Amino acid sequence: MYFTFAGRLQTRLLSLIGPAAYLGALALAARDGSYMWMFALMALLGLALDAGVYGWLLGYQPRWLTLLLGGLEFALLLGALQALALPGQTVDGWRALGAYVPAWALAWLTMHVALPWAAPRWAEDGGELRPTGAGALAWRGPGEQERRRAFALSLGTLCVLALPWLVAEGLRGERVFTGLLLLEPLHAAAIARVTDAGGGLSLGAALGALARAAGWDPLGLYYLVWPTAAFALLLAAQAAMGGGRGLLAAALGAVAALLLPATWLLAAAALVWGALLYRWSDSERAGRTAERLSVLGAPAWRARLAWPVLALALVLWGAAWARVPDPACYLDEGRWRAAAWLRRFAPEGAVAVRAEEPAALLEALGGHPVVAADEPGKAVALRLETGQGCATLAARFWYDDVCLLEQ
Amino acid sequence: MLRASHTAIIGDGPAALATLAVLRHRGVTDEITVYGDSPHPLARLERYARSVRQDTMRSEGDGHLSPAGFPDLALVDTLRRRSPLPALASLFNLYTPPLDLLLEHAAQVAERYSFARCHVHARVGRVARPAGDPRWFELFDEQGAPLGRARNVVLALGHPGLRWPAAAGSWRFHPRVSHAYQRPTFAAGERIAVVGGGMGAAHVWLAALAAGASVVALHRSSLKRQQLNAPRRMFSAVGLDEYRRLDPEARLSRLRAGSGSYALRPGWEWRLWQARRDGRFITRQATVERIEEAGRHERHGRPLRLHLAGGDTLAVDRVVFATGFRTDVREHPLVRRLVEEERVPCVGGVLQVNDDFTVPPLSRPGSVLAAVGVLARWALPVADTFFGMKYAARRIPIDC
Repeated sequence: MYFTFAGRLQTRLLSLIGPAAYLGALALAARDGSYMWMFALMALLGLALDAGVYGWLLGYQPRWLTLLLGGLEFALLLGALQALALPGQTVDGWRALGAYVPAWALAWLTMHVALPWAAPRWAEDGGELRPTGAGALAWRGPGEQERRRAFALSLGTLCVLALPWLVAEGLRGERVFTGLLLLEPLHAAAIARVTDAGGGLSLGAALGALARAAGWDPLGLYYLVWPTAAFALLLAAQAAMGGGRGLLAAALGAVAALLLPATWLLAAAALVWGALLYRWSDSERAGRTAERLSVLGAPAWRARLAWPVLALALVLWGAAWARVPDPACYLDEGRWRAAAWLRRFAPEGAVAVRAEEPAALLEALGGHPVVAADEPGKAVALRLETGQGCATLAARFWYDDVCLLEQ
Repeated sequence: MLRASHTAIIGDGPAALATLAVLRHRGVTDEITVYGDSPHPLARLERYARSVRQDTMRSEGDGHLSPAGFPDLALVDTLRRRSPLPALASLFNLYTPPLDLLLEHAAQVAERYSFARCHVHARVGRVARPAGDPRWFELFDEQGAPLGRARNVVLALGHPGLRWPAAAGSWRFHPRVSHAYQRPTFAAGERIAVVGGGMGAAHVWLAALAAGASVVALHRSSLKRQQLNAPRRMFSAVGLDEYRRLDPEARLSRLRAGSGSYALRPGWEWRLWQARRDGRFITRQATVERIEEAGRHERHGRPLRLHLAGGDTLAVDRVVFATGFRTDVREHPLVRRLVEEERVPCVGGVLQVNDDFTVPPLSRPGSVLAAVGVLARWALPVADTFFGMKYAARRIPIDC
């Protein structure tokens, strides 16, 4: 099949419905949120490959290649499961394969059975679900190259605007994998507050209530929903370029923004997307990319509005960057690994670790309760050491020149 | 009492069947009438295919006449033969549906959507709107007698007929000169000139070689091997969106640039390679300018002599013109009247239909004149394929 760029992404989203239902049911039955993590990784890997690799490299995609890509995606999924210290993650190896194969088969059946049967125009439209009926008459979306450029621009904008938000509390050290992004502890704590029982009337609280009812980790579900919503926003921005779907884009953008603790920043990002992408929505002149990229060409009040919006977004963006005291700390892998290790092996109510150096890491650990992993009944306080001493001592955890020892 | 229909389909070939099936699938439950000569929509296709000894289709498993894309013919064939081979071949784009399976499938589709019940044996010669009533079209036969009226009319006429190059002239009635689709015959030891380089020509080469004849393949442009009869991207929005952005001149030149091609099949290549090695298959890029009977002193040799551009001559026993079909849609009397009387735009023999397949000056909201199949090539270059027929039928703005 020959996918358009947008068609590839839309098809991926549609084909993820089956795996979501299956892995969700599995997670419910086993009361194990790991399967939700697995779905999140499966979805994100698929979307990332579609947007970042397949959409640019693959033209015609024969059926045999679809099988091959399924194998590749599983290998990447397995690698990601092992490489990332996911909270509460227990699925690996054969269990992962056992869960992945039916999930992937459902996605495959969606593409090769359900969609061709239920939506015959789907294949003709390059995997897109274009409007039908009266809307189809006027439909003339942007060209393939325009779509690709728009998507790359959207994704780049998302990354650039989200980065300072992510690193703003970088000194805290601990990072939490959220699918697309790594969150810092303060943000993770904010999300935890939003999703707990006292979260009030908010989407985050609703998600938390849903997760608690299902027996999942509320944060896990939140992390799953956020990147999905973020991608939905990107796709909706694309759809808006075809005209007539601005309302949908705005609605989905609002959903994504409401889900985030730093809503003002994502709202700014959404406005920048809107401003930058505006020219695609009504440009009739093919081949004049520079003109499409420029908001200057937009007519009347919308052009006047676009520049202040863009300026405001840039100010907010700069302000977010200004909040980062030491961007280099974001790259301190040792601290992050130490924190991840502690999270993984520290049950509730354990004795808090106390140590003296280095202050930054201790602050990151923040009195986190810790016990030895192999003796769950016996609380053991751990001591942090740095420097050459680590190499000669029997450490519970060791990374570069940082190690944790029994006191 | 004149027959009143929700939609009248003019034509009785695969385009008419595909349109009927798709419209029913879209939810049109009101009366649909199919005007044409034959209640068997694939009869002509079968006759042509049998003429060139074609036993499998060029299309792949999903190129069929069902309105939905699933199940495709590869799966149907797999279940029918209880063999995984068709499905496996389909996985690698190597499946081509057998002609018999396609005919059986078409018969099933025709039965399911009551093609025969919708069919009216009549040839429509004129379509016009009654004065002062934009909600209907009136249909007349070739003698001008009224046939019926319909809210929507879909022109599903096929190719206007076989294409003969100018060199054929009156030779087309000679017993040793024939068109590929007139079931030419071959005998062992004969030398056959096959003019053309498309799918029909390839089938004739193979049939002649199988009969023990030798073949001289004369082709105007370079021989092109292509899995489908157009680049794959033209069967998807990727290519079609690009095409629809072209201005009219570019569209026309794109349509004219499409030359014949034949499918790349390993079995064919092997047989042609063997024949070439044995000196029984020769290809020449040349056009035929004139045909004449060989002189009396040459009668013991080949009875026909072809004069090629550039001055060469070629002595052969038979000439087969595998030059496909005529494409100037004005050769249909009905279309010619539409162009001349209703000012339907037509350039270079191609009807300039809108991208939603409606015919510009006669269509109104709620009552459209549309074109599918060959007549819709302006909006869709592959409109004359099964894919194109269904693609067009799905997009015609007909209220269900």
